[in-house]
Amino acid sequence: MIIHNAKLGVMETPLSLLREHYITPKEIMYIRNHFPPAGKQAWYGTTDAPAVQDWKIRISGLVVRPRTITLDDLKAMKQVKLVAVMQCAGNGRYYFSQKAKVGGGQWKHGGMANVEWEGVPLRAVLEKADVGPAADARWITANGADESPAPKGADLIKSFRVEDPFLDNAILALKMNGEPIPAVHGGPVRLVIPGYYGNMNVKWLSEILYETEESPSPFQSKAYREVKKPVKPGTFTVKDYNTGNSTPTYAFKTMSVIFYPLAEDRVKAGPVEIRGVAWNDGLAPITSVRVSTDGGKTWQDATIEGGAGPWAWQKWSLKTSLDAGTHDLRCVASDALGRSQPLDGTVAWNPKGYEWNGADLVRVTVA
Amino acid sequence: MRATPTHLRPNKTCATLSVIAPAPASAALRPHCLAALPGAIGRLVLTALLLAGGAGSAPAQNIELPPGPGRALVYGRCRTCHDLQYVEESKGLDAVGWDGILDDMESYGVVLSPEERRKIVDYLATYMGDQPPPAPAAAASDQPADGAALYAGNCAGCHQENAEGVEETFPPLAGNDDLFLSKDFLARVILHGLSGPITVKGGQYDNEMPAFDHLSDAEIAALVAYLRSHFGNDAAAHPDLARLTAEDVAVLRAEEAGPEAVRALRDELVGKGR
Repeated sequence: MIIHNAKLGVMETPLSLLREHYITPKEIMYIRNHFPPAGKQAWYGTTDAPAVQDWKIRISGLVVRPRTITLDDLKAMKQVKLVAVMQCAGNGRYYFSQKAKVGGGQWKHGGMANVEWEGVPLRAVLEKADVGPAADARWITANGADESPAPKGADLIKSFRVEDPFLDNAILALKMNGEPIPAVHGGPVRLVIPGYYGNMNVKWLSEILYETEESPSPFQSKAYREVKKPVKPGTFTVKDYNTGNSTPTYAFKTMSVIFYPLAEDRVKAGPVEIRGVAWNDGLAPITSVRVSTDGGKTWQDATIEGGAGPWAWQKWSLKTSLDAGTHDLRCVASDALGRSQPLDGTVAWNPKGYEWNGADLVRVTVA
Repeated sequence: MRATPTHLRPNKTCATLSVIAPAPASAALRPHCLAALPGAIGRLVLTALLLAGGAGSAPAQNIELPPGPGRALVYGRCRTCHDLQYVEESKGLDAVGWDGILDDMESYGVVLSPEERRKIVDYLATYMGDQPPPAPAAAASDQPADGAALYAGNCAGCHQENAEGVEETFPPLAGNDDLFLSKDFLARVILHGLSGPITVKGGQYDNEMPAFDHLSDAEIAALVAYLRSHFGNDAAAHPDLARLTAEDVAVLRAEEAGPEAVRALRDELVGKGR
């Protein structure tokens, strides 16, 4: 694994490992955490589920009847399963730094995974809780049990529009890949919103609030935000973000990566099958993956083999032939809404390095 | 002098190897590198490596930043929440970029005086900035080490200004018996770190304090003396503990130890005291 922060267990999966499994095992799944729940530093050192007998989620805010639901309440409800890509909003940040340095962990493409979640639909939980939200409570805020080690520090809190259609598919997940969710991945209860970047999928979910405004937490109002318009290095800095010129890093941009061959693979001249995966926010199917073996001069259509549902990796492959020498492989995915990837991903350069979706570039040497 | 449990000292040569390279299954793991990660995280990475059936390595825990004015504040304040790899990976930012990072960090909870903040930004922009850093700063002056200033810069970020700590996260230093476990124990904690779980004044703490071995021998001796005589701690009540000197610290510094080794030593000392 590629360690980005040993203290917090932040690590990335090399693509050479990631490609070995369609469903990413917990042992190699990337980890991005800020703070553990208070006194639970040990949760960061294991892929075991947390040893908690009881877990409560308070549903409150501008409501008539605040309620508390328990882990057992959730277990007793109808469970649904879905496969979804989990991806850090900072995945690919390293590539922005090629244009102008962006602070933070220099993630390549391995800040993502393709996993199966199981749990109770958020809408069903809210309906059953019947808390009676006020008419002007237009935001739902999700809070996890994480706690900053600094006494007055902020912890991760996320807000969504009540009517956000992505919440229609959200679940309060209790299982990942068929097992109770590892603590390090947000167990015992994680809010999973398929198609949304990782930070939106609040770990250790402990509170749901109906509110008139989005949370003032810096994790909602300053961090994990994407600029609305393109900005240039030096003219827009991390200090210039506000809630007017940026939006939270909600839905995945359309993206694809090459899994084979990678730069370290030994490729023999002749027929070769180039393989990879593509994904987006799930709103529309991936309809095209084009592959170039000459750095983008000419393109061929890959075969889309599909995947386990709209939010999962869509596998693709292209049988072609490579001569001896150096080849720059590239791939570009597009979906049915026409949403695609820029050849030069740095056109979307932003000072925090979020939402990279530039066309992948793999230089292979064929012998 | 008590023998120190023999744990490998982090091997700095593997700090540069940050990626698992695909390798034949026969290739050996690099346990010395894994040992350099905080214990629990090291085990997690080991699990991943075993699943991968390959070899690998991980960056060492004790990342060293270039010496320069203000570095101690970075070591003392930034590691409350994250290790120094975050700083290392952000290397190359200009002064505005680093200043923005400090904005973020203050919103996440780090408490800095304007003077401390200025020193940190100056250091990062100069030594981790977008221009080549200047030649290493001249050796520290001969000024005597100031325990109060050392405490404020290195310890207060986690243990708090009043040394009362943070419940469940950072143990108090006020009225903490560990300070008087032996002549050397406190200096070892500062030099090599300490990993939990530990119980202090009835509270449980399962965290890991990193090593503060960037402090000089004289600074650590001054810090030990300061801690033992402030916050209600009374060195005079422990006449059997001789005053720790800078020379003593130099001897301790040469030991090979890490946070887990110091915890093992603590377990021994606490057990003996019962």
